[in-house]
This record gives sequence, structure tokens and C-alpha cells, in this order.
Amino acid sequence: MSSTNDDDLDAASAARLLEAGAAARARADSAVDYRTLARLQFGIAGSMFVYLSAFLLLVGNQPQTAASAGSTSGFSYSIVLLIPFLVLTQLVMGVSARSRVLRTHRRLLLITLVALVPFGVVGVLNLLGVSYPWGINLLVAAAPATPLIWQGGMLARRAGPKLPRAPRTPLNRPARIMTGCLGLYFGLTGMLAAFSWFALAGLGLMLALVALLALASSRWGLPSLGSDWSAPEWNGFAASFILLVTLAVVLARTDWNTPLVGVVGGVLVAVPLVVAAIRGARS
Amino acid sequence: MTNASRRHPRHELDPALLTPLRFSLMAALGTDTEIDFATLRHLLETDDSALSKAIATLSTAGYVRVRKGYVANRPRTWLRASPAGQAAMRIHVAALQAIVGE
Repeated sequence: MSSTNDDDLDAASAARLLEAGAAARARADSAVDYRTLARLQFGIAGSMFVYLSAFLLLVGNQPQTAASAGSTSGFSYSIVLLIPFLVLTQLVMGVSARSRVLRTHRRLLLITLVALVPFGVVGVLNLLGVSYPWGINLLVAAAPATPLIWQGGMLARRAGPKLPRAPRTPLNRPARIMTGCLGLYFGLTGMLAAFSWFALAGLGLMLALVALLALASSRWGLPSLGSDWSAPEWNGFAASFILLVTLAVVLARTDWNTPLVGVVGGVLVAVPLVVAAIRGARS
Repeated sequence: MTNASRRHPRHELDPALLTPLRFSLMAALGTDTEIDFATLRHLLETDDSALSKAIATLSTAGYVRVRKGYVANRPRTWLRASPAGQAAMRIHVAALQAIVGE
């Protein structure tokens, strides 16, 4: 570009500047990893739906016959749901950080926040003891997930052809250890939820989560772990996440609220991530 | 016609956006994109020093926002256009288009 002074910026120079800008924009657009961003949106949407629907199922106003004797403290089980969801948000931050070009979706964020309003309304109804059809819970949980899925679909449409999968490299040592520890942490969370002193144990589990969050910017932090993970580890996380949520619902809403179910359930919750950690070392 | 509409479009040009590098940087960021430093350097085919200077100028003008973080324990810097930068870019592009159209 020869002319950069406003005193002598002629039409040709202005045209060249505009062309350079358009080229830069096109190159930036082509550098976006739409496939990863789409997967990320779908993952967030799915986990948000699971989290919100399970939360409402735990604390929701249900017919007395549907609830077990131990379900009176549904709120205390919500900690079991909160832990994996907060962990997921940190892991997702790591995946976002790995993407060198990100799209910001302020409008989508606003729409999602607005779509969360019904969740707040239903939460208040639950607190007030107002009964409503059970299916409303699913609709309320689906409301914020829907715009995320729509956005994920839009991103997926822009994704180019799938590239051949690169050979996997073994997980590094901190990631391997943290993946295993995360599995054990989830397992312990599910296990302890079956015991009467869970309220106290829950405090300890939350402190452990705070310690994990404090490591966020280090190599041992969850964002770093999320950026290191590939499909097998994410699949392991998804399995542990769903098993932990299911265990929380079973413990809170059925008669199977026994230590044995908690211990067996906790082991099952831990297995996918522990296996992923072990397999990650052998890749 | 008002006085403003009679003004030559060059008066609307923003000095902070007049170099090709700074203009291209803002164009690459657009309104909804956050790009890390190394990728910007590659996209704009420039070097660390020139890009750092461009970012410093735009940052001083309040046109870009810088976010620093870590990926796998390595520092990484992301940039995105601020609302003021997006507005300035809109005006600047309109002025350039007006000059081209004259």
C-alpha cells in the first residue's frame, strides 16, 4: 500500500485498502475451526439440558408417590449435579482456548439468558410449592439448549470437509493424572451422596472443586486438561457425567437410596474417566 | 444540504486505521471474531514487532481489547475489536467507499 496519508489518499489507494481489508477478513473467516466450535455448542447444549432437567427433577414438585422417603432434601443432591457442570465449564474454556480463532456470539448469549428465565420461574414455583405438569420441566430445560443447538447447526453447516484424523499422541503426565483424579472425584461425589452425612461431605467436595478452580491457569488446571483431551477422554467424561447425574436422580427420587447403591454407582461413575486416563497413557 | 454532507469523505477517515496493517487487523477481527496473536501475525503476513506496534496504537485508541490466558501452561494473547473500534471501522470503511466512488 503506497498511500497512507489522508492528504493524498486517492481513490485507487482507498480501493486497495478496502481490498486488503476484505482479504484479511476472508482469511480470518477461513481460519475458524467451525467443526470444533459446532461440537462445543452441541456439547454445551446437551449438558445444559441434562443439568437443568435433572436439577428440576431433583427439586421439582412431584406427586408424593414419585418421591422416596429420602427425597425430601432434593436440594442437597443438587451439589452432585453442580460439580460436574462447573467442571465442564472449565474444560470447555480449555477447548475454546485451543481454538486460535473464536466467534463471539453476544446475541446468542442474550437469547440463552432470556431462555433461562422460565427455569427461574419454575424454580420459584417449586419453592412456593406450586404443582405443575411434570413435562414442563423438560420444556424449561430445553428452552436455553435450543438456541445453542441452532447455533451449533449453523456452525456445522459452515464446517469444511472432515480432515483425516491425525495420529493420537499419548496424554501428557499431568493430563493423565488429572483425568484419573477427575474420575475418582466424580465417583467419590456419587458415592458419598448415598450417605446421611452427605451435607458435610458435600462441603469438602466443594472445597476440592475450589482447589481445582484455583489451578485453572496452571498445567494441572481443568482448562489445560480440556485442551489436551481428544475424543476418548471426552467420551469418558460424557459417560461419567451422565452416570453421575443419573445416580443423583436415583438416590434422590427412588427407594434405592442405600449406601450399597451409592458405592456401586460411584465406582461405575469413576470407571469411564479412569479407563480413559489409562488408555490415554497407552495411545 | 448540510455542511456535514458537503464535507469531503477524507475528513471521516480515522488516522488510527490508515495504515494497511492496522486496517487489515481491524477487518480481520470484524465484529464477532477473537483471534490469537500468532494467528493474526500469520493471517496478516507480518512480524511480531510490526503487529505489536499496530496493536499498541489500536489499543491506545480503544479500538481493540486484549485478553491474555494460558494454553497448556503457555501464555497466549487474544484480540477482539471493541464496540468503539467496530464503530470507527464502520465510519472509516464508509469514507473509503465514498472516496472510491467519487
